[in-house]
Amino acid sequence: MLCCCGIILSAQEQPDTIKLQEVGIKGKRSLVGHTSISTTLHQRQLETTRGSALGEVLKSIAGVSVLKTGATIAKPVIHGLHSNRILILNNGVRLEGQAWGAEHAPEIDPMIAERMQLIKGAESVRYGAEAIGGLVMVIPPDLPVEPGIGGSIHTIGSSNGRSFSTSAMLNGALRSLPGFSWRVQGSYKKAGNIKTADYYLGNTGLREFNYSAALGYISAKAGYEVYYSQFSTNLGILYSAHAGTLEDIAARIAAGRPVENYDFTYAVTAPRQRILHHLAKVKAHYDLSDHQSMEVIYGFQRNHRREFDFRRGDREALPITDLVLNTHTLNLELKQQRDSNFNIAYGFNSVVQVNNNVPGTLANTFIPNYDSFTGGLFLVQKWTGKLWELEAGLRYDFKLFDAAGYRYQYNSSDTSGGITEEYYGGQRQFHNVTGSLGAHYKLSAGWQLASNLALAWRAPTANELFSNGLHHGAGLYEVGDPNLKSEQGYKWINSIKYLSGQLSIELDAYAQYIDNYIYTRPGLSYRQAVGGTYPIFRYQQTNASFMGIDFSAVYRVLAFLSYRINAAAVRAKDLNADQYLPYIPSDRIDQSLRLDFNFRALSESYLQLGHGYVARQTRYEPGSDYTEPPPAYHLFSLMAGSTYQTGRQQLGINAGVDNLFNKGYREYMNRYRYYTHDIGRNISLRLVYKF
Amino acid sequence: MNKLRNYSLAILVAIVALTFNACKKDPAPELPEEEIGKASLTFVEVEREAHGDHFHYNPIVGGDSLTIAFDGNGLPPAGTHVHLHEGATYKLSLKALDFAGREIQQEFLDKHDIHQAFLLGAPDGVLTYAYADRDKENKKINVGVKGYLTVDEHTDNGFTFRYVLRHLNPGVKAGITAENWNDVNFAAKFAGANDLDLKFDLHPVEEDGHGH
Repeated sequence: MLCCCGIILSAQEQPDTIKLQEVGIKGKRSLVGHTSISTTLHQRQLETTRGSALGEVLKSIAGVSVLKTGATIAKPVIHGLHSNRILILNNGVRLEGQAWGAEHAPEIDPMIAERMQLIKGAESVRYGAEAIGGLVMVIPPDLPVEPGIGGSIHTIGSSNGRSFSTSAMLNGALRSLPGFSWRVQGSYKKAGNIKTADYYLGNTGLREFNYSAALGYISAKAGYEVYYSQFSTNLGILYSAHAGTLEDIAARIAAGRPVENYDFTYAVTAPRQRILHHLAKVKAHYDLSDHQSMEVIYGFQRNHRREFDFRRGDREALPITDLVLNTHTLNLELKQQRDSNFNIAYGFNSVVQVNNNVPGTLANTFIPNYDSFTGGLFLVQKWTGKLWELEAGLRYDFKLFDAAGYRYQYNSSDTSGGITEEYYGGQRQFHNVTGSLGAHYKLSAGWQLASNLALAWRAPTANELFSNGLHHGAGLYEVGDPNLKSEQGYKWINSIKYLSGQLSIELDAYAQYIDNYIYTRPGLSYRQAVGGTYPIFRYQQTNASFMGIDFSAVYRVLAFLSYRINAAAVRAKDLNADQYLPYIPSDRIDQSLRLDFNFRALSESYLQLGHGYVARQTRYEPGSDYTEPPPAYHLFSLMAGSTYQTGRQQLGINAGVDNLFNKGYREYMNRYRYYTHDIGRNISLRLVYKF
Repeated sequence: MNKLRNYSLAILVAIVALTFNACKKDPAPELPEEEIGKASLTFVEVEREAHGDHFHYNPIVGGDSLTIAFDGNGLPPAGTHVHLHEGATYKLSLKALDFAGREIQQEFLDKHDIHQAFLLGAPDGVLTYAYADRDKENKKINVGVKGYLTVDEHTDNGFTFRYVLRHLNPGVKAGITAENWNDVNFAAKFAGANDLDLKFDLHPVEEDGHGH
């Protein structure tokens, strides 16, 4: 990221030469090589989605969709995979929260990003376990090199939810202390009940408050950075999703929409989630010689997740889940340039985690306390030719997972009528060897080909191994399996790109085979409880396949008029049972027509009409879900923006209307589609001031 | 390469320190006080006396009394088959116990704005139920911890009687009246989840009863 090279040029001793002391060369390069198939969202694209959650920001990339839990929780889905099957790097440190839950959104503030890069390959070799579906990098702006102070202020208002967000960033470099630079940033968001086309969704407000600070120092041969960020959110969970037994859920589906009516409010009450995520990072980069450099990144994260539910008596003030996950990460990478065509990188990554249930919830723990240690060694070699680039990597990982917990035994009670608890847990060890092979070839001036074959893995998560309890809101009882094996994913992705002045095309095609794919399915048994009967879902393993294509193109019809299209399709199957897998995104196309123009002192002005089509998911197993997938839908949007620049100062405006015709629709990838429609019309105004 | 050796040593020290730093706290057994342990329903025969537009209910000395105890899974004793008599009125009382065997039915009354019981399963015209709960100010409330069940008609065969105590979503209770006591569409109309769902075989019989 920091691509500033200090170069000392000693000019030859000739009469007219000038001796240069130090020249800083600043540029932005991709964090990944050409052999990785990736897409980058740059600042200008991010400006149009400022204030949205990470998942919503990323879905403008073909092949990325969103797994939503109501209106307040969104997780990115890459090629049909999500949660612990994708890896998110937050400023170079792998994000470690309670990612196993479909209703646990990434604890990250997208406002901090200057760029986001998505790698679609299964690149576990360099980044470690869990990058089975892909990798998301959230990249803040580089620390400045030139002395002075700069910054930006974003202000966003949206009609739906009457939300208000603001973000401010200030950075600078010190003239008195050459080499030192700093950045501070903060954001705040307040939103109330979201409205569908016809009705408000009760308890869908949120508050978010995030901030970060960075301090850096660079010299000719070294660079150091210290970074700290805090993410905190308090978000409401839709009242209407509060359902107990299958009878409740069936009744809710039959009603088609919530029978209870709510008005607008900013208040957030139980059921709700309160999450606090700290990240501290220290990074050091050394140029050991002209052709050898070393980078060390240490990160510490503390994730505190508290979930509050409807409870008996006065217990709603107590969290029903209270988890603290501390994660230490250490990455060491040594890079060597053996000659002009041959690079080699090797390194070590370790992750140490301690997860604890905070006592006092007066509720059964869903996952146990655990310690986990992961260590991995990798080697990546790259050969570069005039037209081609080849990369090969190999990695070995070891993971130790040690869990312990107590849980209520539902099916037995002592003679006095009280409850009995059992101790559970145990130690597991996982060994994995992964590898990757990538190639990139420039066919001609406009055409490029890339291919990437990679093996990635992940160990089963604590809930997959040990959960044994009611999944609130889902009306089902989940039972883990302590003997699950690691998942191993083999992904082959190929990309062809064409780039000319008038037309750019990118087509990615992929095939993935996942060995020991972990999923839940009904166990054809029920748990009888004092509140009703719940179906039991058990974690199992199968072999699964994922295949699909992503297509994106931009065609400049006229100098000021362009047409853009993004399309994606994924096919996923449980190979052992020869059945479709649930919660796989249906086929979708997004297209837009854009008018670019300059008007007097205004630059980068545009007007864009967008249309999105999402097909009905027809590839599902009848009887495996509460109801059939919802019908296909079309959504339209309108967006306009402009920039006014005077000197170093810049004022930008973006205004947009999503769901222009206020259509009532349901999205298959929204877990609350059973109970409610999706979000209605939303008018947003985004202002940015840079100086 | 001296530098590299030094840096590597520092990193190794850090790794070792981190590894030994990792130590989960021993898990503490968490008593799941959320759980409702057991429950019982008690029928005590009373005299119903018409008093204008409402009824008064008077105790009967030596009247029938019956308690059905449900276990932690919400199940009655095997083979439970209850006879109630046509023309008779019964005070129906709920007793719910928490994980430690402590009575908790008062909690439902304290939060009467989100709780209401529904009595289901009887054919139309067989039973009449009147809520008889009071709040702390002694005002009438409809919860169903206490109520009066009158057998209007006998049936040829028994049926599965269902006592559902609903934990309602915010604002839902305002739309429920006493007349909804046997609303079969309660799950669709009154959103929430069930705190209790108690079932047993009930057979309203003629006044002099019958033998099976």
